[in-house]
Amino acid sequence: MVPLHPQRCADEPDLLRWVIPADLLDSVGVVAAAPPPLAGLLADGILAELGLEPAAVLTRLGPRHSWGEQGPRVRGALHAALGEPGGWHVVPDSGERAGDAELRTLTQQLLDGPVGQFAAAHGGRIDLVDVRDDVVTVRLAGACNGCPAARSTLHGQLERRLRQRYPALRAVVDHSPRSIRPARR
Amino acid sequence: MTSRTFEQGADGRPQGEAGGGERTLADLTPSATAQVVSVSVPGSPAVARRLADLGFTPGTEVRVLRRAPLRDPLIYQVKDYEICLRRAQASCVTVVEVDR
Amino acid sequence: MSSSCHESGQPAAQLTQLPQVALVGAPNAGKTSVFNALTGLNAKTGNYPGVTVARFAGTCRVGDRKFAVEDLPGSYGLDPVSLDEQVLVDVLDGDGMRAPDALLIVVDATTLRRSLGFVAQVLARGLPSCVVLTFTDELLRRQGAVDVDALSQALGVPVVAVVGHRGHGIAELREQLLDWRDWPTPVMPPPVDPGEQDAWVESVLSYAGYRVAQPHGLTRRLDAVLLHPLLGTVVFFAVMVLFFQTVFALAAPLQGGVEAFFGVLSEWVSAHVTNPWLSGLFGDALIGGVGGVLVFLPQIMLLFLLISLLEGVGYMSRAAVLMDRVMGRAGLEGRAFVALLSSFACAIPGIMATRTLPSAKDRIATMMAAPLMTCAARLPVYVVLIGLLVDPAATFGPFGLQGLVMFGLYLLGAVSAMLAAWAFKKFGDRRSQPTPFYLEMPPYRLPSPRAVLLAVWGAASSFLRKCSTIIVATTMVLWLLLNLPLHSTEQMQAAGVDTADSAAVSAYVVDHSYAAEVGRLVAPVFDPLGFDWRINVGVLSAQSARETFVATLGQVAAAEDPEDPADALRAMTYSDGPRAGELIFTAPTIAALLVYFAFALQCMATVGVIRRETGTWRWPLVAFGYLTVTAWLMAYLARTVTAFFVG
Repeated sequence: MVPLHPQRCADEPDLLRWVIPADLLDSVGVVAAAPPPLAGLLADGILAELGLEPAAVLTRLGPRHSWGEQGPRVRGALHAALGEPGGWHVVPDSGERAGDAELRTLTQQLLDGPVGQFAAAHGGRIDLVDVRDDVVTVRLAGACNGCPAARSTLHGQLERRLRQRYPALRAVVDHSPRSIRPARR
Repeated sequence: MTSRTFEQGADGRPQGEAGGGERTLADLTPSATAQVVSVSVPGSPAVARRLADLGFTPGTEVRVLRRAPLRDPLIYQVKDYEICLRRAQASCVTVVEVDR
Repeated sequence: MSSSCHESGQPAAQLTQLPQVALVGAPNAGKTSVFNALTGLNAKTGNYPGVTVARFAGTCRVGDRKFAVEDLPGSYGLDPVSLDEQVLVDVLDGDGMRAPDALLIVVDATTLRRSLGFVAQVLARGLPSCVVLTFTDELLRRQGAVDVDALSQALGVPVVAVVGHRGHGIAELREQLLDWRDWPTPVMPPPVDPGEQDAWVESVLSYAGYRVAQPHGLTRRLDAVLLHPLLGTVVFFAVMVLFFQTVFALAAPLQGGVEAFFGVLSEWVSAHVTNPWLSGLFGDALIGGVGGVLVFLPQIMLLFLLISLLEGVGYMSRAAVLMDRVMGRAGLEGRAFVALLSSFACAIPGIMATRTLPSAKDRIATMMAAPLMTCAARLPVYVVLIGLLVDPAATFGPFGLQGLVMFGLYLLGAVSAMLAAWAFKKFGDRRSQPTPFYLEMPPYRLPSPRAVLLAVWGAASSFLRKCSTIIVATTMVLWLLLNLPLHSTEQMQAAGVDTADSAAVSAYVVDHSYAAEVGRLVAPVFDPLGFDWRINVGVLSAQSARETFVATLGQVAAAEDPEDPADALRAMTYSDGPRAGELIFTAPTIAALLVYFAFALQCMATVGVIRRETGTWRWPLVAFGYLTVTAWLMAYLARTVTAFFVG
C-alpha cells in the first residue's frame, strides 16, 4: 500500500490534502481522469474535485457530505487508485514554469502547515509574494517583520523543508517593506 | 491480517525469489532476517491483532536477535525496537527469509 | 471515582466535576513519569470497580485550575487480550464509568513506527487528544530526529515533547491542558486496518522528517553478555545472590536500629507510665506491635530500591526473559519471577510487585503463591524450632544438618509456591484464553533518581498507612486476651502463686487468661498435630505476624528470657490431657510446627495487602483458607512421617 495521510487545508474545510510519496505521480494540475474507485466517488458526487500537487492529492468533498463519514471511503479509493499510477490523467496548470508551479504549491503547503503555525505561534505571519526561477519571495508580517529571529525562522523552517522536497531551490528571499535580504544557507 | 498484498521487500525483489519458502518466526535462527507474510492465531483473533499491533504486520521486516537459554523465548527486532516473544506466539507469524 | 481525587477541604462532588484527563500508552512509554510529573505526590491508588486492576489517579493544578488525572493500564492496542486492557477499553468507551474528557497519548519517540499504530487506534475513538512525546532526548542522542510541529500537523492533534523524569516540556504540557476544549481533532479517524494503518504511519513519519534512532550500542554489547545462554545465566545468579546479600546484610543493622528505638521507647513508657495496665497496653501492645511491623520497613524500602533500580536500568526485562521458561512450568511468565523473588524477603512487596504483570489471572495466581515463599518473618521461628530439633554439631556430609534443614524449608516454600501458582492458573478460570507472552526489551538506561525514590516512597508509605493499622489492632487484641481477666493479689495467693515472683505471676495470668481459654478451645483442632494449648496460643498469636510466635511462646512458657525460650521449651511438658507429663517438643511435634509455619498464612499485613491489591475480600479469604487447610494437612503428614522414622 502507498503511504498516505490526510491533512486539513487552512480555511477550506471541504478540501483535504493527502500527502503521498513525492516520486509517485510527477504531474501537477487538475485530475481529468482517475482509476475506477476514485472516478466512482467523483461520479457519485461524494467528491467534487480532484487535483494533484507535488507529493499530494487534493480532494474536495461534495456538498452535504462530511469527512468523518466519507473519509475512510475516499482513503480506500485513493489506496486503490494510487496502486495504478498509469490510470491518472492530469491537465497541467498553464502559465508558469512547471518547476515554479511545483515550488509555489510546496511553499503554500508549508505556509498553510507547520511553518505558518510556527510563525503564528510567535505572533507573526509569512506571506508568499512570488515564485520565479526557483527563487521564493516571501513577506514577513506581524511580529516577524524586523524581528532578528525571523531570519533563522526562514532559514530553519521554510528553506530547510523546501529544499528537502525541492532540491533545485535557489534561495528564499524576504521582501519585507524595508529590506530585501536573502536567507543564508 | 492475512492480506498478502504488501510485498515490497527491502531489496525490491518479489518474495518468491527470496528462497527458502514460507516458515514461521520460531524457525529462524539468530541474526536471520525475514519478512512477515501473515499472522494467524487459530481461535484467537485478538492475539493475532495484538501481534500486528506489536509490529508484526505483512511486509514488515523482522530480525532475530537472540534466544534465551533453553531456546525459548526469542528476541526480535521489528519496527525499530526489540521485543521478546515465546515460541508459541512466534510460530503464529508466517515469514519468508530475506537475504541481506 | 470520587475516591480517587480527595483533597482536604474540598467537597467530593465539586472534584468529580473537574475535567478528567487520562493517560494512555504502551507499558514502557514513560506514562508513569509523565503522570508523576503532572500530579506530584498526591496520587491515590485504588481499584476499578469489581476487577483486580489497580487504578492510579491524582490531581494536576495549572494556575487556579485543576484537572483529575488518571494513569490508565498500559497497552499496545485496543483489542483487549487481558482484563487490564478490557478495563482500558471500558474506560475509553465510558462503559460502566465516566469516560475521560480528554486523553494524553504517551508515546516513546524512539519506537514511533510501532507506537503510531496505537495512536491511530486511540484517535479513532474521537476523544480530544494530545500526543505526549517522551524520550526525545534519547532519540537525539542516538542520532534520530523528528519534527514535532510537522508531526502535529500530520496527526491533526497537538504534540508536546517532554523528558518526563527531568521535567522538560512539562510546563508546556500543563499549558496545553488548559486548552483541552479547543484541541484540534483529526479531520477523519485514522485507519485501524493493519495494512492501511502501516501506510498511514509511514506517511506521517516521512512528513515529520522522522529519522530512526541508531541501535543503542551499549545495549547490544551488554545483551550479548547478559542474555548469553551460559554467561547470562551465570550473571543472573550472581545478581540474585548480590540482591539477597544486600537486602539481608544492609537491612540487618537498620532493623536493629528500629528495634532498639522501639525498645527505648517501650522502656521510657514503662518508666513514666505508672499504671501497669496502661504501661502494658502502650508499652507492650502498641509500641511492641507497631515496632514489630516497622522492623520490616528497612527491608521493604531496600527491596523496592533494588527492584526499581534493576527495573529502571532495564535488567528486570532481561531477568524475566531468562526465567520465563522456568516460570512457564508453573503457568506463569517471566515477570512473575520478580514478585516471587521479592517474596523471599517479605510477601508484601512481592504482592505489590505483581502490578507489573499484564494479566489479572497471572497476578492472582502469583499473589496466591507469594505467601508460600520463605519470608524473613519465618526465619526467627525456624531458627528456634530447628535449634530444638537438630543438634548443632550434627552433620550430613560436609554440611551442617541445621543448615540443610533450613535450606530444605526454603526449597519447600519455593516448590510449593510454584505448585500453588500452577494450580491457581490451571483451575482458577478455565474459560478464558491464556494471555500471550510478549515483553518489550528497552535499551539500558540510567534510572532517574526521582523515579526510584518515588517508587521506594510509594511502597513504604502504603505499607505503613494500610498495614500498620491491622497489626496494631491485632496486637492490642492479643495483648488484652493474654492479660484478661484481671486477677487480684488475693486470688493469686489463694491459688498458691508467689506474688513476689513476676515470672510466676505472668505465668498464672497467662494460664488463666482468655487466650488460654481460646487455646484450650481450639485444642481439638491442633491435638492431632501434637500441639498443646500453649503452642496453640503461640500459633494463634502468630496469626497476626509470624515472628510473634517466638516471643509469645516464651511469654507463655514463662521463660526467664522471653527472647530465648529454647531451654525452657526443651523441658516443657503437656500440663493436662492424656499426654500429661510427656515432653511437648519431640521431633514429630517440631516437624509438624515447622511445616505448619511453612504453609500457613500467618500475616495479617499480607492479608491486608492482598485485599488492597485485589480490591475485594474474596482473594485474601481464599488465600487464608487454602493455606491454613494445607498447613494443617501437611503438618499432620510431617508429624506422621517423622513419628514413623523416629519411632
